[in-house]
Amino acid sequence: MSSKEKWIFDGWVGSVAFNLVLLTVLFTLLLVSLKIGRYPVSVGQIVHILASTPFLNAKRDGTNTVWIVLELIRLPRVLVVCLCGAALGMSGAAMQGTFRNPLVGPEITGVTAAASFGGALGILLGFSPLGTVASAFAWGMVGTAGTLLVSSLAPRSGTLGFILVGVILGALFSALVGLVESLADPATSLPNIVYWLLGGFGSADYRSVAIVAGAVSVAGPLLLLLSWRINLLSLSQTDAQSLGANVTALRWGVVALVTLLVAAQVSVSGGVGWVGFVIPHFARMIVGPEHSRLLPTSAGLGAVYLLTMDDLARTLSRQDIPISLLTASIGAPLFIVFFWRLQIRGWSRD
Amino acid sequence: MAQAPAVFCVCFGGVCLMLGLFPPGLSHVAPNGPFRTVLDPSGKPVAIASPYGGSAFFAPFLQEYLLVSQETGSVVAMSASDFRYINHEDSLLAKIYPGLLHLNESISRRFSPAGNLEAMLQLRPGAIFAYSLSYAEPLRRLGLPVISFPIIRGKIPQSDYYRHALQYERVLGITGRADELWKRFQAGFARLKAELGDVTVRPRVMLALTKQPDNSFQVVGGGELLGDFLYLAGGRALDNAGRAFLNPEQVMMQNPDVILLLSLTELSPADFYSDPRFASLSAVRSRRVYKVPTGILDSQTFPNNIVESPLFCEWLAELIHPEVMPRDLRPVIRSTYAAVFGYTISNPELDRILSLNANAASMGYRRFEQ
Repeated sequence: MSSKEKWIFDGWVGSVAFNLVLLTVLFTLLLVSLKIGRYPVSVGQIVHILASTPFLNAKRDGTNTVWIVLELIRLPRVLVVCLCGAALGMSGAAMQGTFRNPLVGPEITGVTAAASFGGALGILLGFSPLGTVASAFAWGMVGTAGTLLVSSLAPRSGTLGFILVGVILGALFSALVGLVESLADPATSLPNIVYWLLGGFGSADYRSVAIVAGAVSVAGPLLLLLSWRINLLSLSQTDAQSLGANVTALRWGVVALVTLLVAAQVSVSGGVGWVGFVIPHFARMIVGPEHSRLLPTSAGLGAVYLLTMDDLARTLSRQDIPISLLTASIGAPLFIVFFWRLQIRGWSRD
Repeated sequence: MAQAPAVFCVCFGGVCLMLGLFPPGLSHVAPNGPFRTVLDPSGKPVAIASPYGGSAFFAPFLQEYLLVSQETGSVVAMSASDFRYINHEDSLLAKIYPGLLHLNESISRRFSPAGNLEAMLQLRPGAIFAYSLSYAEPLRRLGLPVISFPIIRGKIPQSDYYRHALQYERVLGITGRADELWKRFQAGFARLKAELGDVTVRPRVMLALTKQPDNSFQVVGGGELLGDFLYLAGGRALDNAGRAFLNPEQVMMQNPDVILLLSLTELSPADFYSDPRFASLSAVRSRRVYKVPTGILDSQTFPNNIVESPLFCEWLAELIHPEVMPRDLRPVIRSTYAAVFGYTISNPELDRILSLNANAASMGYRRFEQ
């Protein structure tokens, strides 16, 4: 940070206060999201059901429609959206810090395109829904492993080489997605593939919650504990090494954790673009570039942002709008603004 | 200071993980009142409430269902894509069953019936007919009565028509209609076989299902049900085993004797006759390119149901073997629709079903005029 530049909430006290406010907003939004939907449910019913239901392993009669709507449709969806938003926000912030580049997002490793290919392939081959999710997750990991492997062939190219290989493999997997689409039956599997690729949380269930929660509860804390080391990566490689950081190992470690988060997200909801890119910029404007503050704020903002987008996707029309259309229509103009700002001032990361 | 958010992350993620691993579930999904249990095509038991609460349709077999149920009072919802093919002023189906036009098609968008689960819960139909996999599972998870049809890869047997009809009978709690329709189906093909005899010359027929943006055609081969129908009508499919995409050069290499265009291709015979690229094709030179009749159910793909499949084969047999086939398709269609739907079809409606205008310039099509 330049000596004259101030963040909206500077210092630890400010960022903690902001994050507490963010948590309150998120909790309120979560309750609002449980209220929103096609099936009419009153606030009283929400409170009654949430308060009276044993949280784990509750069993209910299939004729209690309000309970089904709340606990089997809206609650898992809202939780998955929150977890995915947090995962994408945190991943984007970690990747931008790790690669010292404000214009990268978590998809730069090729994981999104590879996981999309895995999911599309699963649908084409008639896998069960769980098999499709597993295929997306596995191919997401394969995509990043391929990027790591190929970029390691040219170690001198550094982060630029990694980003370049990520872009190339991303393009390759995008082409493979096109191939799968061209092979799919237009009457049966193609509509499924297209819908899945557009991204959405309409099919979220507790299995999706478990998948993303598993990834978040493993990769999230590790990224947060690595946050001060990610600060070192924001310095030049020589400076970081002189401060005791194993730059290569740390970089690959962050990439692996981000891949776990993004692969889990893509496997349950398809590709959701722009969140991982845009949210960290907002968070940086608010709490600054120090990663122990930036990562939790990015996670919270990501959850709030994606939950808001999903609420809009559910309510703007009679039918669900694919969420990627909304995140892209807001993310793309923001990208232009950030790009313009970067041209004017450069990126403050120190 | 990074420990606090990390602990929060572990706690929140952990709670969500536990909830995901041990989710709340339904202990009792059967209706409160009286119900009967039927098995769906995948063998899963489904509780059907009495009285029946109506059918929601997200599978491509609405045609068979209506042929079995013979009324629309029990159809309470259908996919938007199906509704589009009914909701126009020329729709015979809408004339026979005007109640179909008052359905709420918005329950499902084209790509994701699962996207409006809450609307389905609000509706609470007696049964939901859907494809298996991602369409059916979210509905079933909510305890809704889902009859899921597997997506069959490879050749679909003719007996599937009968199996579907039987499935609908069981759900609706009626008997006899499936057998009646199946006997009509078999009798139609038996009559066709008797009329055709042992034909020795079988023209090669290219049945184009769709036309792709790159100008290639998705065509039917011999290794599937539609290929069987081409054979039963006295023709033969192109050499590919299943469905294949042929670009214009490959079409020229195959050089079919007859080209059939489904309505989904959005092409008419005139498009082929006027396209210089296809001028050398045998089918174009002999003007044997035909638009396939849409049928009473305005199917976007094919008159593909237990009643109209034999009619399609008879239509094709009259075109490619006019020397042996009697000229009686119009009366056969008229009597079939009267018997099956109780509907007296008019001559203009018959002309439209048979695509007389689109096929006016094609060889031998005048035989279908009144």
